[in-house]
Amino acid sequence: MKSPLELFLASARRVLNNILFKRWLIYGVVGGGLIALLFALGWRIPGHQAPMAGIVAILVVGIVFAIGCFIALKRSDDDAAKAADETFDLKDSLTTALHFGRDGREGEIYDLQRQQAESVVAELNPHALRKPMPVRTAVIGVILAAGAITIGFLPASEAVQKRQADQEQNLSRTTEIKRELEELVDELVKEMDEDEVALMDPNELKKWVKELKETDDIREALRQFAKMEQKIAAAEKPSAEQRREEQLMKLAAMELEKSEKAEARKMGRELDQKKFKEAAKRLAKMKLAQKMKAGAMKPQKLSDKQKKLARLRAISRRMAAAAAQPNMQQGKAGKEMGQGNQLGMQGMMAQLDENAEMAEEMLEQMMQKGEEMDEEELEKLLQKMDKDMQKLADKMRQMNARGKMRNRLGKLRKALGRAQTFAMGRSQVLGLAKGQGKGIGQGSDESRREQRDERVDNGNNDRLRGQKGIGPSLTSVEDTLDGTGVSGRTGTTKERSFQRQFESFVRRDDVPEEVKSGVREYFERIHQNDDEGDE
Amino acid sequence: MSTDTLAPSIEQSAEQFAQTFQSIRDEVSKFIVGQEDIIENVLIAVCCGGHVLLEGVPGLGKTALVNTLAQALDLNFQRIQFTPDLLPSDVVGTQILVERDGVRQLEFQQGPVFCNILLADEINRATPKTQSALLETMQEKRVTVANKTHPIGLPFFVLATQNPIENDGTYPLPEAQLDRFFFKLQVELPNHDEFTEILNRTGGNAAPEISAVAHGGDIVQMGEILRSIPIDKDVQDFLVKVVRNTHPDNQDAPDTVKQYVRNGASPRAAQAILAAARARALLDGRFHVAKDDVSAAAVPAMRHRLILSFEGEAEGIKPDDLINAAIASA
Repeated sequence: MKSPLELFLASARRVLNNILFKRWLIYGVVGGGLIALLFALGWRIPGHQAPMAGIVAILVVGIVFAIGCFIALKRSDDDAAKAADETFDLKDSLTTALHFGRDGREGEIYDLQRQQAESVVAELNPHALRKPMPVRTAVIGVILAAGAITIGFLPASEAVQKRQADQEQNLSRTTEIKRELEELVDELVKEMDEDEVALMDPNELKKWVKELKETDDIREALRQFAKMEQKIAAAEKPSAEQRREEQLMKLAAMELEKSEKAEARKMGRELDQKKFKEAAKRLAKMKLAQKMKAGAMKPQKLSDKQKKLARLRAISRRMAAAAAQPNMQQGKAGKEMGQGNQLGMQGMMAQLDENAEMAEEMLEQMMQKGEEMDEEELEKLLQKMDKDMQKLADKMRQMNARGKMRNRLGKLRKALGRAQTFAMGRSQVLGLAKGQGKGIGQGSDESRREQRDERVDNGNNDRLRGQKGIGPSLTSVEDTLDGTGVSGRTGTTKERSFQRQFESFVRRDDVPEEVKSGVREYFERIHQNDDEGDE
Repeated sequence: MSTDTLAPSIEQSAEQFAQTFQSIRDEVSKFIVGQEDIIENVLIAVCCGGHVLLEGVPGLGKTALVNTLAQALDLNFQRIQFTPDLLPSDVVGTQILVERDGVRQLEFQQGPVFCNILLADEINRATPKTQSALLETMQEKRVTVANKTHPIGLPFFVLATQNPIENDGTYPLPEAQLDRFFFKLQVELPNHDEFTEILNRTGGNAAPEISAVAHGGDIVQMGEILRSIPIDKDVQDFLVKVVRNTHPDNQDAPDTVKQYVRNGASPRAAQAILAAARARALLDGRFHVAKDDVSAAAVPAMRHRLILSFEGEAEGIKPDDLINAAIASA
């Protein structure tokens, strides 16, 4: 059976806890409402839609936190006694009675004190401990919460919606670009022969594409494309030695085309058309060495050899002449070019010609004097020449592979350019891999320019209409399978005009060869036929 | 809760306490106009067995109060007017040469301290030596002269007075000796009505008759009953905090105490506060000590026990304000 004091304190505690709970609830709503409102404004001010889930979660957290605080600060009997003592001015009577009881103090004096406290509380109403609720605070809390929820219902601004749509589009486009670039690279890698594989690790190409990340930020995407383009450009760029070799091939082509021998001229054309592989095969076919038994150099055989040598000599002499040209002697000497102790192409050509001349002389002597020449010495020389020719042929094959590789990288670079255009939204179709995009010649060539409204500018109505360059026009370019996408007659006419200009420039004598080859290279690169590399 | 035992119950004793106290107060008030607080505090000090230092300008009725109190309690009253030439022997007594049965011998002649209530007027005018003679008696309640101890009969109270003005030629009581006083009470000037009443009561031929309404034994019993009043731990903590907050080196002490106090109150002050708070609780009809009782007793019990710093004295800081600040911060 509880004493009147305990009953009173229990009631007082309930009253106080009731007040406390309501207060904390109000504080929770105010705090949660304030934070939710700030949260909602934080989204709304930049134009985004504030997430309703977040707003509600904050309000709920605020209320839960408030309930937690209430539980932690819940009033005890001590607090109830203290509150009652203060409210009813009991001079610590209840607190003292409670503590004496709890401490188990016994005696007449303690009984008297307790009886006194009990007689006092018998006349007290615990509900008198109620304090007025902070109504204003509660109203503020409700307003804050309502405000936050209202803001949550507002949709995102147009600018934000557009930005979000753009981001989604960027993400899907970069994903598509990456996928198609991967497919393109797979195709390119499949087509690579062993010479090209030796030049460039196919995995390196795949790695470049793999490094591209799908992103919703167009600037980031363009940064990635630019980075990849730099890598491609670095891989495409020929080294100084390679440039000299290509220049040498051009000069050799020009020299060979002057030759009286048809074979030499054929080779010259092949070099001119950069059919280095065919030229290498032709050169390889001109091998002279043949294992013969001693004394087997019959006159007939010698004569055959002489004819073969003469054909070779016609080629080697022209090549050596090209190698000996003054602009090929700039920088290091020709024979010293190349890595380590190996000769560069210049040196190979010069040496081949030297050996061919020596062999010619030896054969001549053998033919004329009929002496028993040192066949072994001749054979050694011929073998050496064969090796030189093989090296030269290998170099040509290497150049061929480089050219093909450059074409592939060029394709990749073009694809990257199209990808950039697609990513920026200037074209609607990507079509990087084969079989995609419109066919050759099926693109349209149309231009449009919107008419300017002069009245908006200055209200002047006196402007003549129909003048050239002012009327409306429309230009649109659609992607085709390859080429520049231009399929109209205007483009073709322009191309012919460029070609004529280039050809007349190349024939001029006052222009250095270096400049000519540079110009030629430039035009060839921009008008590169993709089919060349595939042969 | 009455019991059938011979000894009165606590409840009865408490009732008795309140009644006796009230009757003494009423009796004293017949002669002394106003000064209810002073009368109450003096009575509380008397019940607690403590001595009181009354401070006030001359003519406020300090002597009359003590005299009336002595009559109301039917106690032996003596008065000493302290002057600079007063000797310790003038206070405690001395040995004189007497002839008894033809034999000359030294006989101890009791001084005025051998009484129940001693009024030590203007105690700060006596020399430190004479002051210490009295103060030692106050503490020990006995006198030792020529190696012989003479006890003073109980109850024994000293009510000393000080004049807050005319400090020339005075010997302020040292702090250690001030600490022996239970309370220091400041007697204020009466208001207009009180002035009028004083004149009415004392201006005629007939003075109010004061009769004894209590005795020394009653005072002793009152002291016993009030010591049985319990104090809750929270209230006791409050009391201790109040006293400790008068010390400047205490972290919880208010800034004013830290700035203006050199030394705070001692545990003796806490004892005085507790005793006085118990008396107040009984007077209020309660069987427990409340924080309000402690707060009410704190100021008179500590105002003479706080030693102000030079800055405090220069600024004219009142100890009462510092004590109230200590109570507020407890």
